[in-house]
Amino acid sequence: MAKKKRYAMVIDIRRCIACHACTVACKAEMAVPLEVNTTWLKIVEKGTYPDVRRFWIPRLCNNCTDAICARNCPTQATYKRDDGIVVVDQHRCIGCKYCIASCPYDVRYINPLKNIVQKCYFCSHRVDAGLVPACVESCPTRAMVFGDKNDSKSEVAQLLAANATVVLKKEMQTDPQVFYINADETAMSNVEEDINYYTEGALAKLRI
Amino acid sequence: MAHARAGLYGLVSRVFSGKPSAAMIEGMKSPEMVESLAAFDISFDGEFLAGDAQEQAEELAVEYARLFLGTGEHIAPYESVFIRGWSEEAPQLWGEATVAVARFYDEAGLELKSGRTPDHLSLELEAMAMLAECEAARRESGDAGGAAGIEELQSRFCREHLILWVPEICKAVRARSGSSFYRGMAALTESLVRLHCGEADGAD
Amino acid sequence: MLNITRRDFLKLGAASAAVLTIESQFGPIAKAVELIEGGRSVNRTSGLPRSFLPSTCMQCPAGCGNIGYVEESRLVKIGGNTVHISNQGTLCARGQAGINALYDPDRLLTPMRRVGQRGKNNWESITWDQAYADVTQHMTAIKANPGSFVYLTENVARDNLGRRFTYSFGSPNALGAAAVYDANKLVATELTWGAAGDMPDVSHSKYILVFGANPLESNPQFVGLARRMIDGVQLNQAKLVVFDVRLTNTSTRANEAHYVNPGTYALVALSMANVIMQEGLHDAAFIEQWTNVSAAQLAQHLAQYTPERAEAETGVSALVIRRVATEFAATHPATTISDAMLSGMPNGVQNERAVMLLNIITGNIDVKGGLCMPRQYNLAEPNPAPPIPAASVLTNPPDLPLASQQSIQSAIQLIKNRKFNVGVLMTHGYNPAYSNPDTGTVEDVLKDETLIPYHIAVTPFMNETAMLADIILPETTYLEDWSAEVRSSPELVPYVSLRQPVVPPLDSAVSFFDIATQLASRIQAGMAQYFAFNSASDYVTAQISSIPGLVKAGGLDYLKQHGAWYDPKTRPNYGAYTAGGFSTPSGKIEVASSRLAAANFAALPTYEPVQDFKDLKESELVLSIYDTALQTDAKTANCMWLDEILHDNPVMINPVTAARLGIKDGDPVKVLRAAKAGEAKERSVESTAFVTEGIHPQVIAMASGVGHTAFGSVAQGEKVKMSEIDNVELKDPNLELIWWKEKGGTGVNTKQIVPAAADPIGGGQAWGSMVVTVAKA
Repeated sequence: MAKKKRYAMVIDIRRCIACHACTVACKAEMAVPLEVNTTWLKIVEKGTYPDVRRFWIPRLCNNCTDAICARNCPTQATYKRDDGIVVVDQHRCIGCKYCIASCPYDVRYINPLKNIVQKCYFCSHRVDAGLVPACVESCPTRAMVFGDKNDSKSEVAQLLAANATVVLKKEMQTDPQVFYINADETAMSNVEEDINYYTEGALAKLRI
Repeated sequence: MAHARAGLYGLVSRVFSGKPSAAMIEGMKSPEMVESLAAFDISFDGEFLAGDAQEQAEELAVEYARLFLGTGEHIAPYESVFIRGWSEEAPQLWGEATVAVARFYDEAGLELKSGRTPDHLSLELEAMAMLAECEAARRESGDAGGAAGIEELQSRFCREHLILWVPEICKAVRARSGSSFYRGMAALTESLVRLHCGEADGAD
Repeated sequence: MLNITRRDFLKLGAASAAVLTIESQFGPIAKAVELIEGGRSVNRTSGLPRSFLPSTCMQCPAGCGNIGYVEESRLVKIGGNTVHISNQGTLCARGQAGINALYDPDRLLTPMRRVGQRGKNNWESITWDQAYADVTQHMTAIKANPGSFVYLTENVARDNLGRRFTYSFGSPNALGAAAVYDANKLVATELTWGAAGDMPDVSHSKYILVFGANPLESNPQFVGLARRMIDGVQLNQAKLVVFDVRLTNTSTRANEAHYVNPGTYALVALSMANVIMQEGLHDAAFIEQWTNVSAAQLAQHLAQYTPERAEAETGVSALVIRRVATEFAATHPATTISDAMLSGMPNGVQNERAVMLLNIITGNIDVKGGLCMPRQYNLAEPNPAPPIPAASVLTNPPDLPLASQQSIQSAIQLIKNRKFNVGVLMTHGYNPAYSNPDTGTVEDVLKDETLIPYHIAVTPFMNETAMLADIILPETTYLEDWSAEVRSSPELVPYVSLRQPVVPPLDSAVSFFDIATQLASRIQAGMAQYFAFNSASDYVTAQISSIPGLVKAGGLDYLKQHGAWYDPKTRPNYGAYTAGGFSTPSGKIEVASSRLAAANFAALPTYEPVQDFKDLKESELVLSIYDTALQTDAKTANCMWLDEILHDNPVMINPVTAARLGIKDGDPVKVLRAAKAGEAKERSVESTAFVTEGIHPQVIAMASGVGHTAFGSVAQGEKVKMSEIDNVELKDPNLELIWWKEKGGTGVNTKQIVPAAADPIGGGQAWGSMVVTVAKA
């Protein structure tokens, strides 16, 4: 019996050049308002001159297998599809923000124009039409790879098999489906401080 | 009544379409115009009424550019800059509202000759003027049903588009312009749209 | 509440109709208009098909292939074109943000003429007819002295129409801004191997050595080169070694990053070359056969650049210099990458030649994985083509005989000092009042009607330069335009990319092709015959006629459908120079440049210390203005998606330096440059301190591309100011989400404090040689 699809993303940080193509691709594709982001870059600096480096990770919804947000949503507006993508039904969302409080990764936000919750949903509209998510398509160095990890022939599956990967906040046991190759541990930590809307704090971390 | 609506919409459309000519400025100062405007609580200041129309044409050309063209802080007079669609994040030209307005013109049988983006304020107002004329023509030729249909088209456009942003932009013009001409015309436009949409007390 | 009677309404309606005597903007009421048909193929998003048109980006010089996705007559998304060799279906942040520019509410959509004094920002809209008449009148008035027409553009080599317009009028003065960007590198490469520019074949390299460049964030091909660098490092296990003055996304990615004292890159490179020659690691056969020096000659010249001397002056240890030199020479293939940070110096040409030398002596010239010569198609000059009038002091400044890329700073000075009389100035696609060094002088010149009697600005947007125009012609953006585009290919396989309108021109915006054609027919002066093309796309057809393979594949029709073309049978022809030699006087690589010697410059690559850096006082620092992946100089700051990420330019400063100066992270600071001889006062800009370990203690750095004072509401973070009337709080409908004016600000244009100073060889601006002091503001 054929295995169910399980969509996942692998981000190879060795290839990522922090160019923000994914940030803007998502803005354009998802019509994300200013002030909030569905996808963004977290950049940190470590070390002392002259041994100093930058470390970064693209951040987006992890479409967790065991999503706390989906469990807690009072109206089942947010739920997980069979293929693993966690979506928000815009018409059922009442903007109670329980899911925002539930998400350990702070990837959800209230759309300031419509007062409903939005987040990355792996461009399911593109995926259903046989296309990769917008961020993946735009990535100039092909650092982002997307596909069905249950299909052993997929690039995602092969990358996962051949490389050590980490996920954000593994201890929360949400089983995130965004896997990072070579991500720095400082960049991967303190995600609760790394908010996806622009305040003084986030600005400092996102500074070019 | 429809004729009157056509005249009024036509006038305000012309005001927002571009700088006024000296002839138009003269016309605005005619006793009949001034008196009629007074009933709408609109008056021009003494300076405007006494001024030389030729000079004023140049002044108002600069004022028009300052208010509406992109040379500095200005008001972009397009519906999609004021109204954001379902999937829109910030004001821009050619937004969802623009598409909806273009569709309306299509449905109403209006063919744009001007290269202007369809949701420009002057175009929306002129569309109302044209439809009002059409309504008047039908009524006069005894086609009451047809006239009613066109009247309903106008009302619909007023409800679905004009009332959502015209009062807003008129307020902005009044706040930003030092010219009693533009302030007066903005006030007139706002009153007209509110009346048309049944928001203010008055005729019809 | 108004109490309007029916009678009031009727009366005003009648009075209104009497005032009106204009032509309607609508045709007579008829039935529906035809729908706009979509492009050639369909893309599905949201379950609905989108029309699809390939084109070419213009948000940075790279010219990647893009695709415009159109729904209901409007552009809704921009993506990458999969068949374009350079970017291969991907598209960077700037390219995708092109929609913001196309639909910028502050776009200029009607011609405008200034009212009152120049620069006071009072305009009136006029019709195109009136605009053309005005321009024609002024151009006709200078017909007897056509050389007084000056045309200013960004890249004169690429601006075919601009040159045609200028030459056909009878003026040679089509000026480009290469001197502000990469002129020194172009001159250096030209002098050395007879071709302007280079292309490091990084995806095949095993060793990549970077001097004064940050290719992963900014390079002339951006995505095309950045991706190939990552491929080289990841797939080819290339070692990446970077020399820089600050931490960048490239240096952080490197296996080794070394900080270098400002202005001393060339000494590092020459010292390495010395080591390579000393250790006998050089490619003796290549030097013998393909350069115009002998190994012995070269070794003798390089002997002065000992690693110990380099260590003392550059801050890079002799150990590192020896090791990296040895590795570079021993690893094949290897290449260097260098860019404007290296060559934008008073010794820029020599710096570039010094770095080139490393590839030359190791035989890495035009080999797979090495430093290769540019491969680019030549577009045809459509017939008939106007003859090029004799050169002027503007195009060939007498004090810069080797500045083949012109010198716009020199031109500004000549005009300012009345050594050249301008009759009419046309600016197009370049904003000198923002992008030039010493913008104050540029502004002074542009404001002065005795120096610039008449200024036509051709631009889609208001900007600092258009503010000082007499007439503005609203041009189409690149998304509404036609052109044929060629670039130096990062794949070393040349290609042609088409720019075609993905939407029709907005409102009254007109393409430069149409503007030029109209003016040519009105001005006459023999111009019209050179603008007798039926359309801009016909012009493109004529341009690509010189490429038989493309013509055979279907020419313009092919390009309209696919967006880009390259010959599928072409493979990079490494070592092509072996057939006919190099296009230099000697036919070889001119390590010893006879042309430099003839002009009394050092013939061999030489290290010339920056005089201003000698004896830097403790309070003095060197300012580095750097480019980013998010803003392209003057072009992109009206794109809100880009501004949201990068809108200001804090001053990067080392913590030890900051502590010494009593500056903490976030403090407002003033960057001050002392007055030079002839200047009345010092220049300064203010910003906030960004204390970071990632910068040399003697250097401060600020990003370019922000700090506009005239480029629309987004660039300036303006919210339309409203006042309260009738006690009603006005909603701010425009740009209420532009949050960054308050948080972070919109930056400052640091270029305004940089004095105009050119490399005496290349004429290119020496951006990086400015000394400043920094203090709490």
